[in-house]
Amino acid sequence: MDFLLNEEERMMQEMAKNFAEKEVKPIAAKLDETGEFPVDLVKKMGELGLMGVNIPEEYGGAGLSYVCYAIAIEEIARYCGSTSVIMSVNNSLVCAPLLKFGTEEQKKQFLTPLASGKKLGCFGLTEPNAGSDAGSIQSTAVKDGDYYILNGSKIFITNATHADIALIFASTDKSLKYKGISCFIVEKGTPGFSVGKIEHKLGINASGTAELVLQDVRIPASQRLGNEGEGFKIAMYTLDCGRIGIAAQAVGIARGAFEEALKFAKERIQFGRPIAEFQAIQWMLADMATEIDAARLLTRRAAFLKDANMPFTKESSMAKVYSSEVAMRVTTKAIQIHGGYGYSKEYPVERFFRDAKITEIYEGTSEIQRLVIANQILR
Amino acid sequence: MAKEILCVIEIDENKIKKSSLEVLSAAKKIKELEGDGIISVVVLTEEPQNYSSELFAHGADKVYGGKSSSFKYYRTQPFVKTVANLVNSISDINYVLVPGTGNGRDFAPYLGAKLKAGVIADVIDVEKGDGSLHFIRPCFAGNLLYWGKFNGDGVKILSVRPKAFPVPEKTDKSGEYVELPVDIKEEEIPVRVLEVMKETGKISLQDADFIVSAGRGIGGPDNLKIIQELADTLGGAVGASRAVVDSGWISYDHQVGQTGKTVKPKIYIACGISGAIQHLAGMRTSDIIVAINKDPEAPIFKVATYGIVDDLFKVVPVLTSEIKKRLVK
Amino acid sequence: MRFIGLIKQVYDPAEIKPQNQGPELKLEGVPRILNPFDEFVIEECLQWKEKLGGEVIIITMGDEQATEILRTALAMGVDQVYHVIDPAFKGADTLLTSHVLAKAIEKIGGADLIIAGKLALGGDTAHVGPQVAAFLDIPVLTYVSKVREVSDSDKRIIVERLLEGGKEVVSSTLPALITVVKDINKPRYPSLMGLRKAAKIPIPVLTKADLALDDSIVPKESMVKVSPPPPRSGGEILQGTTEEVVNQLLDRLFAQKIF
Repeated sequence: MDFLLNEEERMMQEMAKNFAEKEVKPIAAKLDETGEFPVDLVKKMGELGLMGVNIPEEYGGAGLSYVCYAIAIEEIARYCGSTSVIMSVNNSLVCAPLLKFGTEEQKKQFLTPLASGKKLGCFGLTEPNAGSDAGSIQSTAVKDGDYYILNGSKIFITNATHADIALIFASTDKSLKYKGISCFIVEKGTPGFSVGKIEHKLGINASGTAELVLQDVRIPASQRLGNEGEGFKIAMYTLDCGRIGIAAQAVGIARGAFEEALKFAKERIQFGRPIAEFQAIQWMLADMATEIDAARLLTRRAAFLKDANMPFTKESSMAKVYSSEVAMRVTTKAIQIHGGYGYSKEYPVERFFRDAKITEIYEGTSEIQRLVIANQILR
Repeated sequence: MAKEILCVIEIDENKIKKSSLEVLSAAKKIKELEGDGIISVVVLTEEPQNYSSELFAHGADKVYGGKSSSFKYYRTQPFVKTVANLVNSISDINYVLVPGTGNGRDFAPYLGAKLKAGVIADVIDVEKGDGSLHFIRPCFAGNLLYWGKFNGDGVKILSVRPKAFPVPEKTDKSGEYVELPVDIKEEEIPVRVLEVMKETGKISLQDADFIVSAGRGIGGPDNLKIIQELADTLGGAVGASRAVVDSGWISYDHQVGQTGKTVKPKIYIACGISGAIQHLAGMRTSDIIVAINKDPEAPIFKVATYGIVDDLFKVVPVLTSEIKKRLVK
Repeated sequence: MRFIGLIKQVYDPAEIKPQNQGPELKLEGVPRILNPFDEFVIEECLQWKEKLGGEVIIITMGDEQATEILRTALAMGVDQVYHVIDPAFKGADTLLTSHVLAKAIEKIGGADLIIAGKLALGGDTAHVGPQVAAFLDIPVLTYVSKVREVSDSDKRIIVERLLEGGKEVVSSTLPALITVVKDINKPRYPSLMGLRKAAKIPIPVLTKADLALDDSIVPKESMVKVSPPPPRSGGEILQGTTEEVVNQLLDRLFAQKIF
């Protein structure tokens, strides 16, 4: 068991950290303020291979381990929650299932441009009446010769405003309930497929979250991913992968808040001393540091298991639920350490706090994660 | 024991550069600490004899003049070759002091390698140590001071930081002028100076007595106007923190700090600069530091001689107009 | 054309706490980084190779950990790297370091253009560039802020040098060595694909035995001690309205007869 980073992982960390400091940090506050999707930044990330970290080179990716991927997400998230989720969705929720379930044709046509950053993807599962209860989605896909006709609407879809390719989950057989769900690859510009209402959110404001509307969208059957009825299985696999990305995002957000709080505590003088000299603050900082480390270790362990082709469902849920709750605790404490300044938009911690909350909700709420873990334990 | 301390003199626009005269003070200190020695200078230029009386007046016992049209502009190899020949021909020369200017710090190490001699860069002071002299210089961007010494025999070469030593008092001394043999053929020099682009009207940061510097608090390139105006009123230069340069609001040659320029003006006015350690490295030895920042916790206030906790956009224009009023009087 | 870049791994100055230093330099465990000027060195080599063809070789002299920066250079796309390493080089001053690097350059066949950073953070001497050039007996052009032209056929380079108070445009024959300042170019990020390859490539090593060193060149300069600079104490925080503090400040400055 080796807790140290190998050469490749160390270089990944250095590169991602350098990129994040130079390219992400300067624009993060502005992105949050304006809600503008970081098109240029995402393009740069794509060119460097950050949008397909774990995808093999033959499909346009960087061919690095999932551990490297988690490291990269953490470094990006340390400065910007929005940018890190854009990256995570493309990598884990779109590229990963295409790699696992796609035909050779589909991989060449869709995975390669997504992994190489030429195109951007989004994951269309959630509906107004189907969040945690993903099995009860209402969108339909009706077979028509060599085509399917898709109808329905998806909400809260990250990257929706700018995605070129969407993975859309729709029912091909309502009678089979969740076993009747199938997954489809839908391209922007397909007649009937449009972006609907844009969400104005508490945090991750620049993530392009919006509604996707499907009105008699006609796509070739060759764009069905996996078999009919395999949709739910694909979604569950995908979310297992995605959880590691979100866990890494949460660790990054927490670390960003912690580093700011540490810096502030050393500089802020009250009662004649830096507040970092007071035990109350020291204990808070100690707890924050410990929890972030623990969250990171859980995350890396889940990534390690995935890389080793071992089961990782329980471990990725553990990483996700723990890291997201750590992010909430740490960002809350970080604001507290800043006192009044923490509440002001002049300091970045209030943004980390707002960005942290979503990590407890998307890609499986903390409640769902606990169910998954219990399920695994009680098998 | 010092025998002959040779100082290299830089000429710019037909004048001896101030930093070269400062080197004579460093030479004097070495002479005092060593107990003896003569101070000589070498000046390589088109008409070296024109500078001899001023050099004698500032403390040179001997002036070696190297005359050549090829010395109009500094180029490493011909300058090093000439001085190396001089050092090799006069066994008494055991110190060579060079001004720590751009070209000086280009020249000194090249000379050192050619002579297989030790070189200590950017010296700010000299002290008696046990057995030999210790030369003090900043390292780690000025965050630490380093005491160095020379080992073994051989000539000791130093570059001297500008403004670390004073210009010596003028006397009415005279001295010996020696014409150096110059063995330079212009056609054989591999380097040509094609164009010299001086920043006209602009005082360089290193030479300025007054620097007004902008930090991230300036908010944008258009707001630099008020900084420039204050600098102009003082007859000084505009500096900037790395954040301002990285944001593209001003060019890199204004950057003060660890990877930018090191300055030592009489007054450094830091506007909207937090005082990160990397910036302090570039200006912490300024005589007077005035800090203007609306954040009372900004680290710059720990090193500022005078601190103003207020919005720079209010303070700077008022400061400019008040100075104008007072200077008129 | 053959381009050689000289790079160095330095201690991160942000991690050096002056108050904990002295009389010895306590560098154990201090994180290290690629010297900030050196990413511009690597990029400049790569850009000229892309324009004129040829190869880029990056050399560093340093301990085991210095392989990290060579891998970074490989990930950025350079053709070849060399690690000059030997226990005998520990504690070398700039004179010895430059001699060793010059010998290494000769050993691997020299170059048309050698690029180094203006200085290495820490020592801050700015000696190695000029000294390597001196040992190779080639011209050195320092503080280059822009390389205007490199010509293989004419064996010539034209650069802009950044000096106090202005710039100089200078030409030199090749081979030559230039030292570059920050922002001469915009360094590329290593791509992840490059990173993967770079992490695995074995790095060739040059030891003292591989180089025909001149044993008469020994360190001529050594450290006695270090110490934090005398603290600059904070002075006065002026109180009052904007007009009041400005006048208080000017009263003090004018009283010192600075103007």
